Amino acid sequence: MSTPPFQPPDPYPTQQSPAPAQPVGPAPTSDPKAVSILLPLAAGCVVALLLGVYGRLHEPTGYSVNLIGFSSGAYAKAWLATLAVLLGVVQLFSARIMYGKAAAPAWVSTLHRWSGRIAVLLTVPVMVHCLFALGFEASTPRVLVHSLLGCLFYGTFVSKMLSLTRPGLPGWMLPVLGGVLFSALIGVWLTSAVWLFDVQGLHS
Amino acid sequence: MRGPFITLIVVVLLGGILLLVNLARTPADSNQAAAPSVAPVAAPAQAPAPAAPKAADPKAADPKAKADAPGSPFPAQAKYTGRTEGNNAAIAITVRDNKVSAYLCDGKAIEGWYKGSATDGKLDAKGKGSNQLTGSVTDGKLSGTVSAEGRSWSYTAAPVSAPAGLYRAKTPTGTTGWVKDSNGQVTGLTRDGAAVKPAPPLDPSSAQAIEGGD
Repeated sequence: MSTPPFQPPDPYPTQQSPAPAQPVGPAPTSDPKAVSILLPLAAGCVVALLLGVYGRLHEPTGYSVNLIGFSSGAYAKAWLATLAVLLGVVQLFSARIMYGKAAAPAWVSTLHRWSGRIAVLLTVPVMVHCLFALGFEASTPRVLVHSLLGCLFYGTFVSKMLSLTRPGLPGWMLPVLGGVLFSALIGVWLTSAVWLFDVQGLHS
Repeated sequence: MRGPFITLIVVVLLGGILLLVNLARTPADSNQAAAPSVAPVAAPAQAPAPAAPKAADPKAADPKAKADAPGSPFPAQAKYTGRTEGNNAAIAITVRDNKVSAYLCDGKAIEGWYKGSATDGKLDAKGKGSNQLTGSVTDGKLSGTVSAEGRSWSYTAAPVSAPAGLYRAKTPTGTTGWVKDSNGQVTGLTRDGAAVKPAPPLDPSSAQAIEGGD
């Protein structure tokens, strides 16, 4: 940028009167706010897409390394996911306090941060098992919704983590991403763990 | 503002490590401890001596052991139940003296009976039309592919003991098959010619418990 002295940088230059075919919006490349919004979202989309493509292309093995102490891999996954959902509820309420009118005590954001970290870490073995043993499936509405939401969950997670590090973030960005993340988690859980508990019984 | 990056990196690392562990273990490795609950099920009475799959002398003194193909990981008598990929259908596979009887059933529309053999560690069975069932045992668990109605699925099945297993009842209104898994969940269908209808509740006193070859 070679701006003359005493002239503030003008993100909306008006000189170029030969207007392009499209109406001119704020130039996205030079707007740090737009970068803050678009970059994490783009990264999230790439991650979601990659997970889905891998799940589709990788030949499902039908099995994966199991966790001890459960009657089957499916139940280990279901309980891990259920724990993650419980922590997700903690996320929802701690975020509610953080975005409330009164100033939130410091421990609330610590709780939010760590419950979120643990929740996502709990889902990782579940996700790896899903991707490796089962893959992206579309044979029934349940598994299709589950597959799509699973990809959405990790894409949104990446977006949210990257957003947290960006300056000049609009105030709605984190709540929206967090809301999508929570909704996706609940959806993934309803289409897998709750379904399993319903069909095969609530046990370990 | 490094916290989120660290979170992200830890998640990616954990996922990567788990994936690598899975990849490393995918080839048939033999040292994974079978789940303790499944170990005692495998043929308690039939195979007194050659429990070890790699018996040094294939011509062991026990004639029963000789009947098993050398190195065959299939027990002389065993029952497996499991699900197809995506948990769509239940499958029960019974093995007795290298003979196999199996039943696939989703409880709604798809079902099929299979008969065949299990030799040299390979299960190979055929059903109606082009229906086919293949499989092999890894770490005590049976996995393979099964086809019915022109579609094919991969499946995994674990050893089970009675009352879990495969049941059949033949009545004038059709043949019913039931898969009962180790949790006691029953999946069944009744076939009457080309039509398929929901199975009646499994009554162990009237249904036949199917073993390999039945």
